[in-house]
Amino acid sequence: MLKAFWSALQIPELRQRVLFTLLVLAAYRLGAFIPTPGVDLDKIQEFLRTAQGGVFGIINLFSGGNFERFSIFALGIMPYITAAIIMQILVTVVPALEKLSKEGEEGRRIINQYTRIGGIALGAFQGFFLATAFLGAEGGRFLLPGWSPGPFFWFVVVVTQVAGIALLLWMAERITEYGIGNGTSLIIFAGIVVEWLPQILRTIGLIRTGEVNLVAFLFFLAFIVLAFAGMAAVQQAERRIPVQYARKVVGRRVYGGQATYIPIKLNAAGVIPIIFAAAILQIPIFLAAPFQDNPVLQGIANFFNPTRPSGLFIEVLLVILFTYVYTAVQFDPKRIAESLREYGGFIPGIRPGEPTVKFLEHIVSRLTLWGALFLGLVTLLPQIIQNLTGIHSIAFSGIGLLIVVGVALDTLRQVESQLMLRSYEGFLSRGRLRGRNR
Amino acid sequence: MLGLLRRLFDNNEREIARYYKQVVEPVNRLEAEVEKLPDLAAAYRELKEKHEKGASLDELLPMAFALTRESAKRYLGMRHFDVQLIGGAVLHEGKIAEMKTGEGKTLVATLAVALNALTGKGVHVVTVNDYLARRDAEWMGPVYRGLGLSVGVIQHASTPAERRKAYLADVTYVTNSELGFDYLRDNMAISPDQLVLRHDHPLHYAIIDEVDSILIDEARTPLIISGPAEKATDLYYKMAEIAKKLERGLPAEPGVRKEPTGDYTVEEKNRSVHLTLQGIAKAEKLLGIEGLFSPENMELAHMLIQAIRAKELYHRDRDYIVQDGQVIIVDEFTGRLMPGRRYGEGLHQAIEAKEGVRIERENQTLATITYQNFFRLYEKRAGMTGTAKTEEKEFQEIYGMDVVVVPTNRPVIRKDFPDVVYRTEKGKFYAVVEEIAEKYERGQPVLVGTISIEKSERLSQMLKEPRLYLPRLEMRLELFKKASQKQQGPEWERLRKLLERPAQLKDEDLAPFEGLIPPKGNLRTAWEGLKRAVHTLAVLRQGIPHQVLNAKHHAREAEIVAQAGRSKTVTIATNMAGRGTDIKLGGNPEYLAAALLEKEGFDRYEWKVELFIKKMVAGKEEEARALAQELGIREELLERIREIREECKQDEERVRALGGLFIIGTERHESRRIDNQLRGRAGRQGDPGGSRFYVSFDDDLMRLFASDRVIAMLDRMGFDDSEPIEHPMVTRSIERAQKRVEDRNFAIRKQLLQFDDVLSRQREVIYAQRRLILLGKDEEVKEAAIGMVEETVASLAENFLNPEVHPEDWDLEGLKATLLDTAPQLQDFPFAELRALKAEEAVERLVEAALKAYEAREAELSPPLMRAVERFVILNVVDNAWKEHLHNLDVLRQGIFLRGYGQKDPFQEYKIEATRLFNEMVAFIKSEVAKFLFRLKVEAEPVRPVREAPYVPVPEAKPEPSEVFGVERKRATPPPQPGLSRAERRRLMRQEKKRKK
Repeated sequence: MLKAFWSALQIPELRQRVLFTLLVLAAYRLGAFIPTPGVDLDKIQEFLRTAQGGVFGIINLFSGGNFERFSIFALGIMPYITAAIIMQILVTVVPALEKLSKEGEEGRRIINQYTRIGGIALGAFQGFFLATAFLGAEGGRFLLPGWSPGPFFWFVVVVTQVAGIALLLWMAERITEYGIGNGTSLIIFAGIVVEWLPQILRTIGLIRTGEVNLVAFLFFLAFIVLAFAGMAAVQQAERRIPVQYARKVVGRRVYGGQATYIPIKLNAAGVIPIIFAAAILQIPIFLAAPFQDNPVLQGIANFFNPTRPSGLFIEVLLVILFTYVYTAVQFDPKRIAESLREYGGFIPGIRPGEPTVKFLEHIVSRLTLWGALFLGLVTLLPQIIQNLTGIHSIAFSGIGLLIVVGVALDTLRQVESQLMLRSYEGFLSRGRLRGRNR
Repeated sequence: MLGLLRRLFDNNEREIARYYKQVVEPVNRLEAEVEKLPDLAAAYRELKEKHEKGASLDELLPMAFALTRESAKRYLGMRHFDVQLIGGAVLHEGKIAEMKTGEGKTLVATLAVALNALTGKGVHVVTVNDYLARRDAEWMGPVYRGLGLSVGVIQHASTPAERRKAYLADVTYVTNSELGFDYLRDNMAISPDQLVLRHDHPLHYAIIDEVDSILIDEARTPLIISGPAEKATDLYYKMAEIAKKLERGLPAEPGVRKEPTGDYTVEEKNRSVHLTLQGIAKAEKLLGIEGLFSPENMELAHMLIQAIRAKELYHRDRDYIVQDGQVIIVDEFTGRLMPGRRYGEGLHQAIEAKEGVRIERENQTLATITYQNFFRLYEKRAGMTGTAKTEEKEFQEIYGMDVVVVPTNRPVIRKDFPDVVYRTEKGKFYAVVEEIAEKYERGQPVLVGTISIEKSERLSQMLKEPRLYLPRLEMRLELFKKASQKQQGPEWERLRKLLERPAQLKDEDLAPFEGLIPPKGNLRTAWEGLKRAVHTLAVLRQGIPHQVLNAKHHAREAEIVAQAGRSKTVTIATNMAGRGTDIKLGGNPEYLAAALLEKEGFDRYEWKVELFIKKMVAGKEEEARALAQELGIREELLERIREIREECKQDEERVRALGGLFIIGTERHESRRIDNQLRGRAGRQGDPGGSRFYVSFDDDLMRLFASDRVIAMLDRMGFDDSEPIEHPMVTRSIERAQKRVEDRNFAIRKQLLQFDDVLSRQREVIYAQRRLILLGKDEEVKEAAIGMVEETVASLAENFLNPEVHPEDWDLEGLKATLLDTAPQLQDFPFAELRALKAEEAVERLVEAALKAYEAREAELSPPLMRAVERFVILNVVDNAWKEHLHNLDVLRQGIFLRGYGQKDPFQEYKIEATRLFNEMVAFIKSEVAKFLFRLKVEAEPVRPVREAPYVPVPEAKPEPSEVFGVERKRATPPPQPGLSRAERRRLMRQEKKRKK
């Protein structure tokens, strides 16, 4: 991996791209320290450490810690991702959008534009919600002195957050275009990784004071590395369904078998089921939060709290459920069969149309089971590792790890493909032996 | 939007101002000085020396331009206008100059050519057809010769020797396709003397005429050289029959029907067809097979689908014509025939089967390049056209070329009327006929643009047969009757009686009733419509003489175009009457004079003859007379030319008074540019003129790309074709449809280019190395061959001599077998001794032994012969491998989008897989070369040194297929026949086969 990056840096254009990416990410990081006007950061951080604060954990994760600093990027790129997911579902449901999605490049562009608008609208909505229900709650619990909840404050927060997310989206797109890798993913990636560093440092400090066992820490690291490796393997695992194109056979050979296939990922749904499950589980906690004195509601909330066994169990169940749902959205056998047919392709031995759909459905449903179990395991991972090693000072999540692995793999693949185009040697490459001999 | 436009406009304005200051003024200042120069060629040579001494072209620009202008003045009787100087500077800067028709692009090019020819590296002026290449070269020849520059022309029929000479000239006029094919052929050459492009700077500077046509319209059709593959099968006929028996159904549509109906469905937008389950079953039954889509029937399925596409999507006289038992493609953009070009992937064969003509054999791609990537190979390129601004973004984004709109010498005063829209095509055509009739009656010349041969002939038919217009009259009559139902009175009774026999109606019959009709309202509208119909019918009855110009009738093209501007002329044309047609009002006296002289046995293209004609037409009889004497033109001819001149002048006045040439477009094209091309035929050089487009919602553009909602609304509102639809929504809808198609096509081109870039990089590597073998010194060739031997032996050995495996466990038997397969000379090598060595050393020992064997072989054959063999083997192996590679990439590209389902970026995957294929090919080349060099037996008949190999002329051969994005232009060439005789090649092949067994 490092080697690929190193050789990438040798090529001016790639070096420029990498530098550009780092520059934008640095700008993003810088923005993380520009607070939203009128918000008292200390109080927020204090609150987030309490149990109720957990509600916002997922937002915090995706915003790369921006939330706890309540910076101009407090919402992170999450609203955009939510919009993208919603859009993806809508495309399969709304005929007009479905038609648009089939219009090729042009249609995709329009859908992208909708998604962007949707993301910013969601951002505005969330900003407003945060300003009224969270920051401004209880007479301005998180406000700096001199600020009071009211239209002006709401306005300031919404404008800041909308501007923040629009800027972030723009930066992400710049990365995608002029940098390396997918901008949106990289911004999340950077946010997650950046948050790990201080935690690891803190833990090392704890080792010195003896609060954490060194051996346990090493075990912890080993587990993480193992988890990374496992996830990388699963992320890349795919079933390849060969596809044949009805075409002229020219010359002697019939080609195409090896490179023409539909890859179906073992984990086709990605991290989204985990995000959904976590988000849903937080609803009861969230709703119960204002009623601290009601034991029944608190009991229900606790039941769904994923830090407890009952909540964890439900979470895993939800993850598995959502994996099925989302795979169905993501991987629509009907659409695939259609587009196969459109270009004259078919799966050898299977008729186009309905039989192809059936065949694909069968394979996907078998794969999804394993994908779902894998995601369930990922959900449990932090609990398992923390309990095994007894280290609780590093807060990490399964999604975080999975995202980091996924983004790293994608980016690497892109670097690889960029490198390849530049490394054509041709048949006159100087022999390897010559270097040695002469 | 408006603000943006204004800003763009201002930018252009500023640019133009800059050119005035930096180019026009300095050149004009030099004019007086240059006028006095006795010898322009000497002055030009001086500039050349200055350039050699380090003066940049930019510094020399004013003087070079001034000299060129003077040369044109002296030898051509034309002086570059100031705006033309600007055009020249734009071209020199590697940008695109947008210049309106008739502004003299040909003359503009001379400026940039003369300036850039100072480098001595050759300049190519690229035209769209042979005729223009020859015309421009001969026409502008005197300008260049005046400066001491040589001019070359390449025509389709030029021999290699002629081509070579033409490319060595300072300026070469050549068509884009000849140029591209020459480049590809050069890269298939087996000996240096086959090369036709310059060896040192093959592609230096190109000025591309009609640049939008070449870089945008043709971007989707790559140049392909192909060689014959196996004979075509008669199965195509059978498939055509089956296709006929299958029925078209409707596709599934979200929210309308879940399952498609019929035997197959058609997707017009991307020109694809899909078999339904029912259709598959039916086809299987008809074919008597099971499993149409099982691998063994793959080809049948493909042929059937092509047969259905041929049936549903490719129409005779629109997409192709049948002539002398051949299916010939009609170019979508120019309306011209493309003999020799074939649809790919068996589609052409399917069409041949459908038309019941002989099926040509299949071919295989040997070399290919897109125009985009070809012109990018130039050190500098520039372009000119009348229509580039609408595609400015694309030029900038893809080619990095700015567009500068060069102001016209005189303002354009053509009046472009808003579109007239009808609900149905029928209504539209009636309206077009009415407009033609009206203009014809007035005497105003009309040029009617149609989008296909079929439509042009249909319109011609309508003009010829008045009865075809009758339904329109009857409809008008109905409308009028309805509107006048309630009218009572004796006058009305008389009118009704009269109207009972509509076919006999005349204008005069209706005139007395004029007073009956109220001046406004429904009744008046219906009445006017009726009157118009009656009148049109009358005009049609008298006959409207007209000319049809399409790919089927193009023999008299030049003549028709020359006369299209005369009064009372109606010309119906396809897109053919687009680029390069200059329609003069009142007729073209130069053309007529030239035709006259040609009949008298003069060469109309000789520059002195042309100059004579120009002077005659311009009225400079003194000068003309001198030339006439020199040329031996009789006084009587002078008199006739004078008559022609006067006649044209009179007619021109008449036409001017009538408003100049009027353009009628009968359909909007997919691209606004093509529409603008048509419009641009009128209003040249400040002439009066007008244009109007007729559109209907039946047109392909509207049917496929207009919003369904607008169409549904129109139907609800019940438009009945009697009147054009006028609604802002409709106008917007047309615009949007056109914009949509343009965007879509741009996206397709961009994607095509993206993919092609990968191939392009690979091609650059292979071609560069191939060239090194071809042109390199003997030592370089030897080094290359030895390198390949070394690498092949080393990598074979490394497969067996694994350093991590104990030497005792090495599979030396396998190693020996493998190595001997490549180099039998290693038979006596002591393989057993390898066990005593480290893996690395063992490999080295083997390589040394192989090299020694190689040296022995060289000694045996003699070094010169060995070099010849090396060259021959490497070039052949590379060419074969490259051919296979092209095919592999094609297959790869077709299926790569499937990767998207695994959340992978297909383009990225393509790059990775294409690289893998490339590396495999390279490895294959190396090992094949090594094998051949060791095993090749050179027998009694000595190998002729490769350098003396005869050039293989490119025959007028049948071109070929493979269609990914539309048509590909192809031309076939036989497999190269290098130094070895055919018998020898066969022997080689036999040996190879034996060896494989």
